[in-house]
Amino acid sequence: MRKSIYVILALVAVLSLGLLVGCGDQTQPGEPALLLTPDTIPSIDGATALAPFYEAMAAELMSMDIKEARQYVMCSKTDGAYERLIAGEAEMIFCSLPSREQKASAEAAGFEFEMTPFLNGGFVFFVNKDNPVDSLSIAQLHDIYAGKITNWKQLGGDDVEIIPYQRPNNSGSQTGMYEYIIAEDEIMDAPTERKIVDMGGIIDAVASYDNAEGAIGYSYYYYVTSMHYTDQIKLLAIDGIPPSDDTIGNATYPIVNPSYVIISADTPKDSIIREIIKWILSDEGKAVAKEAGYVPKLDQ
Amino acid sequence: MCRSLTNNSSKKICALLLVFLLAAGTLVGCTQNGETPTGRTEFDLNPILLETSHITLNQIEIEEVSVYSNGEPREEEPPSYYEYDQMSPEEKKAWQEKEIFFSGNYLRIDGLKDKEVQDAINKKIKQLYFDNIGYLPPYRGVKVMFGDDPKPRTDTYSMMSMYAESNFNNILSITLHCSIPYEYKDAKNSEYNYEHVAWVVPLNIDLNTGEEITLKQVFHNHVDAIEYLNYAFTKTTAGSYDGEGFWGGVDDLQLVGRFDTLAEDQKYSITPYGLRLILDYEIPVADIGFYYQSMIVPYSNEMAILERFLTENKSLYTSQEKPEKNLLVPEMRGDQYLETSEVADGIDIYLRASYSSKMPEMIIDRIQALYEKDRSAEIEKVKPYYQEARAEFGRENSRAEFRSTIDAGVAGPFGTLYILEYTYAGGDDGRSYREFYAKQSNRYETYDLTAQKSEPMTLEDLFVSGTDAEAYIKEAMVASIRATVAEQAKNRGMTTDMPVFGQGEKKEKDAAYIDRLYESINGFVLQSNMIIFSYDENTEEIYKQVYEVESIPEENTSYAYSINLLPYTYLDSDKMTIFR
Repeated sequence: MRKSIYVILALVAVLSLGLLVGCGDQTQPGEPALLLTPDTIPSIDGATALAPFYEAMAAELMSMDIKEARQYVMCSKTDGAYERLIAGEAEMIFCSLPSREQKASAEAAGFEFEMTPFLNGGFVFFVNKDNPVDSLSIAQLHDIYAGKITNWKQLGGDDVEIIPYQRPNNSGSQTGMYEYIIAEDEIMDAPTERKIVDMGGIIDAVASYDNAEGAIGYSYYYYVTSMHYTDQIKLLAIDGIPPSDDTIGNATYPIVNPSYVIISADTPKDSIIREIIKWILSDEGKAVAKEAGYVPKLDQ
Repeated sequence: MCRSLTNNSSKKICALLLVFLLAAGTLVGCTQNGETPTGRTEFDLNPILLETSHITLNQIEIEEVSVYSNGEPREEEPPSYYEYDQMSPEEKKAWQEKEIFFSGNYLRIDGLKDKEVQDAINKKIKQLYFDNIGYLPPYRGVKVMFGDDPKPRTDTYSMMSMYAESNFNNILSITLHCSIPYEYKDAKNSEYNYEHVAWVVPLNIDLNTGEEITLKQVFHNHVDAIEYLNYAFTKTTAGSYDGEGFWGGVDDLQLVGRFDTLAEDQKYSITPYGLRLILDYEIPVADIGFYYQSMIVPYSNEMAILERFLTENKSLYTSQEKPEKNLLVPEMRGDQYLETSEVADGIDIYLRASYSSKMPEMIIDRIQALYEKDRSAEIEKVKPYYQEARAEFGRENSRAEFRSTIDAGVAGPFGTLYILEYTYAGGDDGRSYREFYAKQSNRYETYDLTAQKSEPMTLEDLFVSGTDAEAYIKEAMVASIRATVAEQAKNRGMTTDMPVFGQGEKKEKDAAYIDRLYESINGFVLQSNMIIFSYDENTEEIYKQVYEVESIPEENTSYAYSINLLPYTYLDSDKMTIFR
């Protein structure tokens, strides 16, 4: 008798659990809580670095294969995205903070940005994996690129000349360099290599990183895994904090730049756009970001 | 460690395990030739010397079938755009209905012995066209701009044009290039209310069987095709990251997000220089805008494509003619540049040399010697003329310069040097201009990269032993002049009563002209399908001296220019060493 009661109680418990699980989520398994269609999805645009995120987001929210979903979002690059947002052609864009020029354009058009940070990007430095130096301070990085520190032995490493590679001036990394490490008028001349251009002219071009023994270079954390030398380099810690999903996500890594979803401040409170932003900041949105290779901004 | 075990059997097993672990560790640490310790293979993407030095052109005829946008053959050729512009509105409307703005064609081949294979190929080619009618490629953002039911415009230019990218070594590579204007969903996007969407579709065929060539077949069996192409892609696009900036790599390709891997069915075409990878909507990382990009992956010794479909001693073709051979010219990327720019006594001096660091040392030494050569004699020569120019035009309106450039290339297993020098002095004050001195000299040198000889090749070296090189080259010059004159006459609609070079009254002078040209040859370079000569004397001056004229008659200008380059088809390839 006692045994039968226990069996019945167990069955009731299992049944109740099943019901609770079923009630907790009204949607079918695999369907997002927020469901859009090609007719209801707002006009989305953004930077090349963020397109894989927002098209993965579009695929998730429209319950669509990503190849299909990709056709419903634009990638006009940062300048183009801001232009389209200000002109009213795009309703939400995914970019870094607006530049001075972009702010001026918005002001002239009477447009006010509303910016929500949702991803953290890490600005990282890398060296040959055999370089014994594991960590540098921002001050040391400044002095390397100012030409004041020229040998790794000055930083506790081997007696090897430092080759401080740079990036061209119109690149995101070089902009990051000027923002976080050293001013444009202080930075030393970059190593160059001669390149032949159209019409047979020769130019002295900024040399590409070549992972020599003394080389140091920089980029954004997101790109590092797909760089040509990925398995030959190591990322430096800054002030003892190594770049990782955790340290960048919670912004303990010292050089973090957020990415933003940007809309018009006039967007109505009940707009689907604001629902999408809530979704982006939710666990579900963060999971999509992580799967696409990004570091979601963690709550601090 | 094992000694601490009490049981003998356990000790033995422990020892065996340790030996195994040690062996495994050693094997993992070992590297194979070309592999980095991490196991990634480093490929030589751009070797100077390839296992295959030349290609043999396929002997098939390729016809272009002009069609409408629906694939049906055109009934009549449309007028030129100029003629169309002159028409009345009614006539224009009539021609618009006949798709005057549309240019479309597919290809049809003829000349294979196996007619079943030929028919199958022609069917495949035609189907490629039909499969793309009405297609809107799934580019990023395409439905944002054009909607779910896009409308192609018919009142502006569009095309579906097919061409043969390469046709050699029993391979036929065809590309269909489409550019169709679609109307914007939202009219205010552009005052023109439409935008062209462009895409290409390649088709690579083995002429032995009519089957499509897979990427795997492009490479030797032991090479992982995708690993190789991923390596080439990341190396070539190394600068194409960083969000809003980009550098070098593929034209203005800007990568979207991170590159992971190319797919097994990556679109590609076969070109005379290597594979052309098509970067479009099928590679999201390269998908920006409504057009495609492409990048060349040069031929390398990891590729088998140039040999795989050859059939020794068996021709696939009905033609009885000797097949034409061309040297394989690799996509060589020079990485070494020397440059000097200075002013001496008011004379601008510019020197430049470009070459690949993979060239043999003796060639590099030669290039550097040429670059560093003492040029004071040439510069001294121009000084008095510069003084005259300054006296007449004033210092600010006169100019003198000396330029010397040395550019190195490769064709087959041969290294080529193009050495140009130019000296000038003149004046120009905006009202009048005068050239006081101008001299240009070209000198070409060709080296056999497989032979350890520091001397450039001679004309005799081009032919097998016992061949009268001089006679062959002179015959080829005559043939070249005749062919060029005939072509010019045909293009100008002139009569066929023109005197034939080397015959009739001018026969002796023509022969003397050829003799003088041959004597003046001071070097040559080899290109894929021709030899280019450099001469001690200006060939126009040679003509004027031999024919005793002040200037060359218009109908004879080809005499002076058509002998600068000689196609291999005018020379007997069986007698030439370069195709061995």
